[in-house]
Amino acid sequence: METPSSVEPFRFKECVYLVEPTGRWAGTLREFCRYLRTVPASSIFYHMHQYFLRSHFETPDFTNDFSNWAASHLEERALAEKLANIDPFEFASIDPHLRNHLLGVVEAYLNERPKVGDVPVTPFYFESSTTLVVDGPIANDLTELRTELAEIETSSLYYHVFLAHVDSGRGNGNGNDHFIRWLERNYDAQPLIDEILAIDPYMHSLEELRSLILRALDRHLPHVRQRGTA
Amino acid sequence: MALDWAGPELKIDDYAPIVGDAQLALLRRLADRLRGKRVLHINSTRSGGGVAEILRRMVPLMNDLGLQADWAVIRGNDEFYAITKSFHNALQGEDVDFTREKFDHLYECNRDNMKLIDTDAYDFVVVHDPQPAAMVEKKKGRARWIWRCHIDVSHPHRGVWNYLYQYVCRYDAAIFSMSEFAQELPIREVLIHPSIDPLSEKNHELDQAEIDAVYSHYDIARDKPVLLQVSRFDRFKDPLGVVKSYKMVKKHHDCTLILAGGTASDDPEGEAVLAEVREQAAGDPDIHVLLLPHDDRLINALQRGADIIYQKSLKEGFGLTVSEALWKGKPVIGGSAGGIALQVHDGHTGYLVESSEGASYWTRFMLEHPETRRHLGQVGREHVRRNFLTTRNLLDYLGLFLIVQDDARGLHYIH
Repeated sequence: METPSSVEPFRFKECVYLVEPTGRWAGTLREFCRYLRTVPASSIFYHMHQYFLRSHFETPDFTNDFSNWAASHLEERALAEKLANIDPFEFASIDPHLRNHLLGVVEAYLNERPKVGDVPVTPFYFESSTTLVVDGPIANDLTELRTELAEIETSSLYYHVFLAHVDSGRGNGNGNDHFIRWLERNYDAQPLIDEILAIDPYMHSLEELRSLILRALDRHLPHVRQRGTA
Repeated sequence: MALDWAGPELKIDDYAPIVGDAQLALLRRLADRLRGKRVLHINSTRSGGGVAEILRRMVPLMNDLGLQADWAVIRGNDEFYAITKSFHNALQGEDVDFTREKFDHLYECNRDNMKLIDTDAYDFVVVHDPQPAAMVEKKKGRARWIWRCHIDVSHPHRGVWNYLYQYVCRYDAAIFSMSEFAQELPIREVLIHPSIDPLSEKNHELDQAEIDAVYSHYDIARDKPVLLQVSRFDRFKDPLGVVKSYKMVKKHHDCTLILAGGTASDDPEGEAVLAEVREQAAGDPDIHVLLLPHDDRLINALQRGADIIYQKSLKEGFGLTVSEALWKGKPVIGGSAGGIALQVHDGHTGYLVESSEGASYWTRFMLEHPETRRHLGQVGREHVRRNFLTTRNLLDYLGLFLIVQDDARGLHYIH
């Protein structure tokens, strides 16, 4: 790979998120549905993603809190599967798109099985978060990006892969927005971009995501050229 | 004034081999934005209990990171401590008779401490637990005051909560350990899990010889699997349920049970529970009921020498003994109470149970599958490393200071 002189630096960000109670908790599926309408969008984002920051289990049950509650406490496996299979990247925003979709799934389930709605179970506590985003290291080219990516705190991956989606509006539909956009602006690297885009972030822990992106970089780095160079 | 305490010499770098350079780099980046800021922690005891244990590590580490952190302990007479004990119990739902005189005495003691503890020079004042909550009357200027509630106040005695509420509302933020323990307040609320310290006497690595010596001292054979519960002899910790479970396991596996803990000298109920446990254990040389002195290193050795650790609580606070066990690579069988479910993830770090039969079943399963046991222990240690160590707690505190300082919500960028 040629080392370009005019590559725009990539600024890594890291984050610390402070979890906040919303004061809303649901002891039945019907209550859950009611609060799902009114809790802040940040609460929905939090419950769809916090798993990635906290957990690292090799064989996770599901990667969002709603489906885990449906499976473990409501013991409604079918509902859990429907909620787990939702890909937040398919929605332009939480409000109204993702929220309405979640509500649609829960309401349809309640219509099919009305008795489920009032069964008391271990409550689901709706939480939210305030996220502090801090400037991290800078990579001046793709080689440095690879070096920093291997070392950076996992919250940085959370920011660039998941938070990037809400931070910059609709992304590319697959996450990794910041990495992809930077690559597109600075390099002729379509095979590398395609490989990163092929990763489904919701199926991996942050450490696994790091490994997959690094593997893609290692494979393509020798062939990537800076935009505008021969 | 405030700091009449010489804490241990702790360096944040000491944690690098455990949590890695990346997390420490992030901690330093946050601390750089708070360099020189003065932080005062106020609580009601210098030793004994989880809060003092956390502050003993947190305060020196904040200083090492470039903040100026102090720790002040409120003073009170015997009557004050008697009142705060029932105040504490009332906030956790116990029906107590709390008279006007008691509220007045509590307030007077806080007022006396306001004279003793100079809070004016601080940028952040963190008041731990209800006893010193009224100190917030001293709040002035740009200082940010944070109330850290370590107990479950979700179902409090109404009269006692109403008294506390008038003070809590004057803070800039309140911290609870988990949603289930919180109250709805008109101020910012955040959830921060408590933590254990991997370098403390209770949790650092021990030589095998030291572990063996402790077991030998108590005449506990280690030629068969050791099951252990460390907790007070208190009905909510269900030691009798643990004995019942052990007896069911014993039909299938030869094993040893240790119930280790203490009772408060002023706790007649604890004495009664201990007597019942001893009665149930009588005649079985493989059950060891140990009434221990306060000795963190001893507990550490017992935990490290065990094969499976129980925390079969029926009612629990956060239950940090679970993290202590997981940190030592031991799978935990825990009751679904309080914070235990955040630490014991079914099939990942141990098993959550609702009954002695459940505890027996999963003990039998793990005794038959030593590889699973080891795997759960490894995953449990990693779970604690990521979520329940001092450095994560510190990260949350620094994050909170920055957020309350800037009155930030949602996504907040600092450059």
